[in-house]
Amino acid sequence: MLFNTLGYGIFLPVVFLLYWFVTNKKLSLQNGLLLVSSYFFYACWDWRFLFLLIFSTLLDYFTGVKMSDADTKIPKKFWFWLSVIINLGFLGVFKYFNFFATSFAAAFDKMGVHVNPWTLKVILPVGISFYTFHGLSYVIDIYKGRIKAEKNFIDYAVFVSFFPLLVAGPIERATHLLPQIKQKRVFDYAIAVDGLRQILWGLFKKMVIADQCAGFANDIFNHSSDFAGLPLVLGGIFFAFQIYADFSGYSDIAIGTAKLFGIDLLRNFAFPYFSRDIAEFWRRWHISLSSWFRDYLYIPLGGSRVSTAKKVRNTFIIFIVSGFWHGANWTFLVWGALNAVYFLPILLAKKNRDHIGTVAAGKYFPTLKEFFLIVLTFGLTVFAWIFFRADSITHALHYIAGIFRSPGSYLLAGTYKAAFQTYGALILLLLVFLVIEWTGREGKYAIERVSRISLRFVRFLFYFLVFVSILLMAGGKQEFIYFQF
Amino acid sequence: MIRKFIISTLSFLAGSILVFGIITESIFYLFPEKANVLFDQNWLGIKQILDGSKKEIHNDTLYVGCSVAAQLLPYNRDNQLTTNASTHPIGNYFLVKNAIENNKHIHTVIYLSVPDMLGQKLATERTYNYFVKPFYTFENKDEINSSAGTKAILSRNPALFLCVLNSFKVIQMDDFNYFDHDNRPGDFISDDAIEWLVKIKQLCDGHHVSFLLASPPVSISKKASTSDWVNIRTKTAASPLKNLFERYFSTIIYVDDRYSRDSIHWKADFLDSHRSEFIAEIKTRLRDSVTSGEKSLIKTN
Repeated sequence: MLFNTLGYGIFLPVVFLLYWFVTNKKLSLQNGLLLVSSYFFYACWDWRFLFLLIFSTLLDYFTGVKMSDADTKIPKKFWFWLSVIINLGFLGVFKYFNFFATSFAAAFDKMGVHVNPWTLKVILPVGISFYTFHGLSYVIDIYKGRIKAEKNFIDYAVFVSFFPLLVAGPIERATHLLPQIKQKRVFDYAIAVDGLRQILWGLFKKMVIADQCAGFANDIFNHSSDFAGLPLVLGGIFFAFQIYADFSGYSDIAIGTAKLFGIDLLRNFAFPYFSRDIAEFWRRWHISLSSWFRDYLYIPLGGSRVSTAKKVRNTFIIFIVSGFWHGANWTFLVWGALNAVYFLPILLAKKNRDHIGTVAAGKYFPTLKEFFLIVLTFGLTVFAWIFFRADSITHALHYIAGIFRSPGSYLLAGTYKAAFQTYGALILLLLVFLVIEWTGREGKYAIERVSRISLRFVRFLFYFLVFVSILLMAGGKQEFIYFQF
Repeated sequence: MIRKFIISTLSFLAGSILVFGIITESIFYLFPEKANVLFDQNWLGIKQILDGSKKEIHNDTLYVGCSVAAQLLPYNRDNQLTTNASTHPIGNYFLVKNAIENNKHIHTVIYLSVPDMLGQKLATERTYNYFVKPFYTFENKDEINSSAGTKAILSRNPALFLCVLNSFKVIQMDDFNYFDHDNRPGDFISDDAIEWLVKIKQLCDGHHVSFLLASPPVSISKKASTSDWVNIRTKTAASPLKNLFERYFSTIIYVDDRYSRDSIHWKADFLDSHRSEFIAEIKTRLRDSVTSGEKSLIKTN
């Protein structure tokens, strides 16, 4: 069930009404309802993989309890590694098996040995990367003694399967979400309205910005050999906006939905395209995943408090693993490695924490230097996105070569005119979107501060225009990009 | 507080939809020619032909049919009611009905369609746009629903009634996909197509109008790839349309694929230079295939 469908438009109000009017007397009933509706939500996609989700939940719940009950280190270690190996095993089989099989076969082929790889004919269970990481963080935290195991299975299962975050995050932590699940929730009018506002903005980002960009980006990337120069640059920019609006839109809908149930989810995006360097970008992009890798991989490896050689190693490991998390394709690995290359000079120069706060906070415009840094960072990001979007490394390299083909051609007024005739409306739409995002960059999401407009009519006119834009421009019905991860 | 929240939310949604509906419907009625600027309203092209079927038609031989027929005898140029395959024989039934009821001089109706489009199932991804939206109106819905099979297919859309209520396609999401993953293209004729072709024939018989099937030019490669339309021939041989289809296949003019745009439609320059030749040839073949009583109805020039 997708967030941007009529099905979800019916499902959400039904669960909301049952949650606050039928099961509100008892917390266990409310959690039971959340679990049943989450499993229903997941089963709508493919009921067969529901068993995998339930198995993964049972595994982490059971090993968590066993680790907590263990008196000595050895059984604790046993249960910990059992959970980690099975969790990563599932991820490996469903997500990476075919990649390794075909990559090894290709490598053998190059050595003159022909191998017919045995591949699995299975589809990737939606959300497996997300709920596996939920479970992993939980067992790691118990193993490290940061939290105690959850004894109530329903509560734990809701933590793993809560439907707004089940298929594409944000990747939650037990320390943040479990206490909320165990606590009685009280309906808060202001928070619920805020949730609806965030859902509205998320739908706008997904259905208007991302889906409009997708049409053009897909066309340019799928027929990249037919283009040269400016259109290919625009293709990269359109994809950058597509993936941002798609994924951050999804996160906004998820966070907004959770607010309707009195639950606060982790923030996932903080206006990453207004970053002044790559380090800041990674603090603002897919925050729940970046912080997951930081806490469970980078810091255990020593983080940045090690020798320069190890800093370089750790940086490459975290970015390449992050790339690989997105999918079993060399393009994601190159994307990760490229970001490591961007990040390293900043880290080694100890400038990775130079830009912590919001850019130009309290001002209308950035300084010239800030503007230049934002454009530079965005340019580097777009360049990396080409690898992320391309079907293969060869495709990405041809795409990049195409940008520099006939380098003078896109300076011609005619080429500009043709490009703007084709893409002008979308560029205008993106500019409007950027202005809204810029003015709202000090909030948690772009239109959060609309609630502060004192004139009720103006507030509702704004919501109406956003709503109408969704009705008018929606129709692409593109799936969320991060479902494939 | 929850009640206040629910009431506020519903009020906002209802109010927004109402205001939006009023604005869009106003645009539709006040500036219909501009409607396509705002929305994807290409169904209006079919609606225009449907409206045209209720007006005076200058020809005594009426053509309806698929998009290849529309290339040959377009509505805007020849005042013929050719549309596209997704209009389906059901939509063509209403075009024929309106035309012969309002134009007593029409003595022959020719259903002009390439074989692979003639038998298309009702349930396709374009059904909503080209059939439901223009044809599923208060005026036609009872007759459409008189066929249990048709009613069952159309009812898959839970918001079908909205189509009757609003004349304008207000949102792009207002586009139900009837495609049922079993729509065999090519050498296939669906039961619903046969059912409604029979109805067109009965309608014409009731008005003493001749009803004939004919084909616009077809890519030559299709003849081999379909074994000369063996499936359609077999299925229609056992239907009430046996005689009509026997004549139909004799009207097919096969043309080299290199003149084709997409193996169905023809390149514009090729068609422009051969249009009258093709039309004359189709008429000649129809004359040769029909009984002597009907021959006088088909003028070859």
